[in-house]
Amino acid sequence: MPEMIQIDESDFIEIDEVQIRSVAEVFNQLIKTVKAKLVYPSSSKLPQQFMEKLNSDFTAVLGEMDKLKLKIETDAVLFSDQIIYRAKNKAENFAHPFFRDGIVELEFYKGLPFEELDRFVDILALVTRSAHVEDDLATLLWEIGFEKISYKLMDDSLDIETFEYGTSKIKTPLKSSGIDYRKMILENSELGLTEEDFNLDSDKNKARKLPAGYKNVPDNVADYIKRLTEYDDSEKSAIAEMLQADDNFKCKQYIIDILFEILGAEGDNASYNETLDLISKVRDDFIKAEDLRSAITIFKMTKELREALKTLGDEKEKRIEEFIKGFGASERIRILVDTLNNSKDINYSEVTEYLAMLSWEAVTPLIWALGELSHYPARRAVCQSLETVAADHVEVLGKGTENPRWYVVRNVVMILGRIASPQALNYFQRTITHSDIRVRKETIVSAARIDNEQSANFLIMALKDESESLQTLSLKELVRRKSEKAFVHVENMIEDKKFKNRPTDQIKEILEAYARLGGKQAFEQLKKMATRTILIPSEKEDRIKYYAVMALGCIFSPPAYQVLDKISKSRNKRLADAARRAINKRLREKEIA
Amino acid sequence: MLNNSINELKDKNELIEALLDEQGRHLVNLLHATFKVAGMYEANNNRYIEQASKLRGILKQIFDDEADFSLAIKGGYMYLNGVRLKADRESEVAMTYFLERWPELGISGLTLTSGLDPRELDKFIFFMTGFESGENREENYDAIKSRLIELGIENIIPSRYSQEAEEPEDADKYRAIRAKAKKTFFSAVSVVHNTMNQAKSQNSVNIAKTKRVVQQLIDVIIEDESALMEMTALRSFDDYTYVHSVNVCVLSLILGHNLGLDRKRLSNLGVGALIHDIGKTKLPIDLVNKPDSYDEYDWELMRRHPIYGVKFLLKTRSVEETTARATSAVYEHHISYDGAGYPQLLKKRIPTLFARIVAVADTYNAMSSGRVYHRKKNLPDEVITNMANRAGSSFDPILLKVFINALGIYPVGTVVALSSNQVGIVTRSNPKDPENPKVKIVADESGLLELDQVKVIDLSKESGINVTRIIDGDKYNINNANYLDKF
Ligand SMILES: [Fe+2]
Ligand SMILES: [Fe+2]
Repeated sequence: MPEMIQIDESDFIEIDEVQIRSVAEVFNQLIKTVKAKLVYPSSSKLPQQFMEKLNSDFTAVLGEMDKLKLKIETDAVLFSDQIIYRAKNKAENFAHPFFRDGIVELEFYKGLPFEELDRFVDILALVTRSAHVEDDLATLLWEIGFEKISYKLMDDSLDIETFEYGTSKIKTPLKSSGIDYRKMILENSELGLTEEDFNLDSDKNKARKLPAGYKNVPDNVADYIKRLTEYDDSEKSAIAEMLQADDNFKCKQYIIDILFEILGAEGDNASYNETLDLISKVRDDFIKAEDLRSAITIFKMTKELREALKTLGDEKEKRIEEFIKGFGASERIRILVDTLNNSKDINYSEVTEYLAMLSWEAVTPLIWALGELSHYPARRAVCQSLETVAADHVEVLGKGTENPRWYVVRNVVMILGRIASPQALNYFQRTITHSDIRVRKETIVSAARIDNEQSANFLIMALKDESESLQTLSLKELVRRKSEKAFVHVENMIEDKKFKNRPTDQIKEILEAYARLGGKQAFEQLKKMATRTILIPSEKEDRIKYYAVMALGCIFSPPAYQVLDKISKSRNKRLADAARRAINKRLREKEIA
Repeated sequence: MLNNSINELKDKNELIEALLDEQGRHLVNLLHATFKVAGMYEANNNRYIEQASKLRGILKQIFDDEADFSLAIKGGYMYLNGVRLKADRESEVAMTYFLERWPELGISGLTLTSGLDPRELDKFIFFMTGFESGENREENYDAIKSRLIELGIENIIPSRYSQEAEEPEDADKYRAIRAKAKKTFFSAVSVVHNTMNQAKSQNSVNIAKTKRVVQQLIDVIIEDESALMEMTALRSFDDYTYVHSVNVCVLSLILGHNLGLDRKRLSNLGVGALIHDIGKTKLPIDLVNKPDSYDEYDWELMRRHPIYGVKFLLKTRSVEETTARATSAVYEHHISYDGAGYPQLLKKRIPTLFARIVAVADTYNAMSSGRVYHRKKNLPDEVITNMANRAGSSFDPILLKVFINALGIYPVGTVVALSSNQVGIVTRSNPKDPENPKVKIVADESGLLELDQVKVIDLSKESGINVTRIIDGDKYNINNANYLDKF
């Protein structure tokens, strides 16, 4: 059947289509692999599996065509004039990173090694991941120096046709213009040459083994030139060390160092200020780049400079003092806030370290920052640093309690509490009546940190807070302080008609507090509550009875014990049980005491 | 249909080439082996008889397809009937033998015609094995040729070896790389021009564009250093500052390349070198181009250009690797190895590697061009001697050494007088024989040669011609730019 093997045109077209389809698949696999590298951690096996598939796809395609040439357009990739990839939308356009950097053609050659393909994918992943890469794709690809991958740049800027330079400008007509070359060559007296210089065996040069063209070489240099081509071991290792030392070149530290070096050498005021402005700009750049470490270094060096100038009695100290204040200026804090809100993986301990170095002038901007920061760890860092920065300026910090945002007020109250300055209570006066319960709660917690009479008054005030949970909170603190003043307030609470309507845990809490604060004073009242006879007790009344029994366990007097002992033998099983537990509790507490 | 037949033809040609390639390598191996055996045994020895019969076997195979055929050397390769033989491991030794031995004998190849008989072949083998060659190639060739006729060997005809026969292979390569070098060099000048103007007028700098042109320069340097080196030796530009910047960039890159810096570091080094004098854009224009010598005030201003450069860069760029590296070259390129120079350091220290490299390249170029700092133009030997004298004080001694080695004792572009009473321009140095570079002969006793008479000779291969001294081309109307297309 000879016609079976005849090849007609349609076969060719089909082969083409098959080829285009397989190239499209390779490109698709390339995209998948890049994405896999972006999504999965390097420890995951998945990217590796994608990579292996990609490699075998490439090998297969390149086995058929020696060279795979792709054209890149703004939103598409073409192979032999057929679109093999088109971007779905602007956000996901795989042609974009190439086209943006002027790469209009990519070529892959037969024998493309796995390592090259792997690095290629890595670079694509890098530029796809982040817009913060210093170099563009073209540069990154160039730096690798691929052997089996090449690219073509659309770079009209380097087209010299459009430019005025060229050799035509510097060529001159070839003319000897009366120069006697023979004379020049043989007798050039201008160079002060002697017969000896023409003599190749010139003993002078020959003895020193110097090149014939070298005249007037001093002896010390002659030696250097003579052994120019050989490198001894010490020179070889010096070269190796040189390269190694360069590996350790710290770019940012270097820039910081020379900026301070330049500052130190500036003579006039204008230049001095100019350099300070530059240091300020570089510091802001570091912050924008999320490099708080370098910003801290600048901060520290500035402070060291101020100390040095102070010692020297140099009037520039004032200028530096101003400069240091500038670190906390509102426009600077704004930059920091922007950075913190946009950053995903900033080092918060560095943020705290940086902020803590600010002077008190930064307090107001930092309070503003508390209202603007969107991530919790950032707000925590600001709070932590305010404890230091505002420690001696509680009056400035206290203004923050007037902030319209409840969470700012709460944070300020918390910091005031941590600083634990008695002054803070003046601000708590306002915040204890704040409309937001979270602020009031924070006020109680913070006031609790300040151990004086005045703060006890706050806690007592809080016993009347509309929120019962806050009442309990302050009650606990008052009990901890054994505040005698509080006893009468607690008694009022118990005598209130609505007392029995409170939730169980509060009843328990309040009765216990009553017992602990009042001791013997509370005994009679509790005994009455525990032993009252009601014919048909409601559940609520039963509850009060029960917790009154328990509270009796907190009074360490023989009558209290006797009452409990008696109840423990009663027929009411629930009360008897409560009494036994109270006795045991009493014993335990006594032992501990 | 037409397509198909073309394809068939193409396929057939490929087949023939593949066959010739295989047969050729076989032949080269057997020929080489037979010469060796003939050197040890008599013609009637079994060992020789065996070997010669193998050789006849392959010859017969080739003669089956080709009436005559030639085995030739050209540009470091061997060819069988014009088909280049692939150098594989098995035939490497044999090929190297012919590639080295035949030029010495003055022959570039052998033509074998189909009348060749075994006796003729044996005679030829033993004659060649016993032939004692002299120093002179031409004489060797003549001797071989006449002796073969005397021996009645008519079917093996040697062809004369000539320097030109070597050329075409390299020439194409050179032409391409020199053209690329020229284009890239002027692109770089253009980019520097734009960068400096932009720095002055818009107070910004386009590092990406600078980097791109630097990378192109590096691509050329990695391929062939001498092509760009030749461009740096051109002197008659009006725009000194721009061309100087590119020259310093090229020379720094050549030094860096020879030092073994990787591509990334080279690219950063190149950017730093290209903009090392960017601070000068902040100086009054008449100061930069001032024809008169400076007074103390001018000097003070001039000495600030590194600091102006640093301030400009840091003002307009954020601190990333390229900027930081470039800044180090800008700031420290006038600071000596021992910490002297300007700007004055608070604490003396060795400048950064990049600054040390740029300092060497900068001084070399400034001294050679004789502009601004060094009013007198110095010839390469004077510059190298002067700089060598300051190794360890002004310059890092090792970097300087690597630099001079890369340049060669007679750097590309140097105008030299030769012992043959000719004048030449060095076009390529011979690392193995630094005193004998390749030179283009541009003048002889009768005067300047016409362009089409200009030829390149390799002094390392021309016995008896040496450099006698370095001369100043400007004084004798020898303009390197005129000869750029000759190599
Ligand atoms: Fe300079
Ligand atoms: Fe310079």
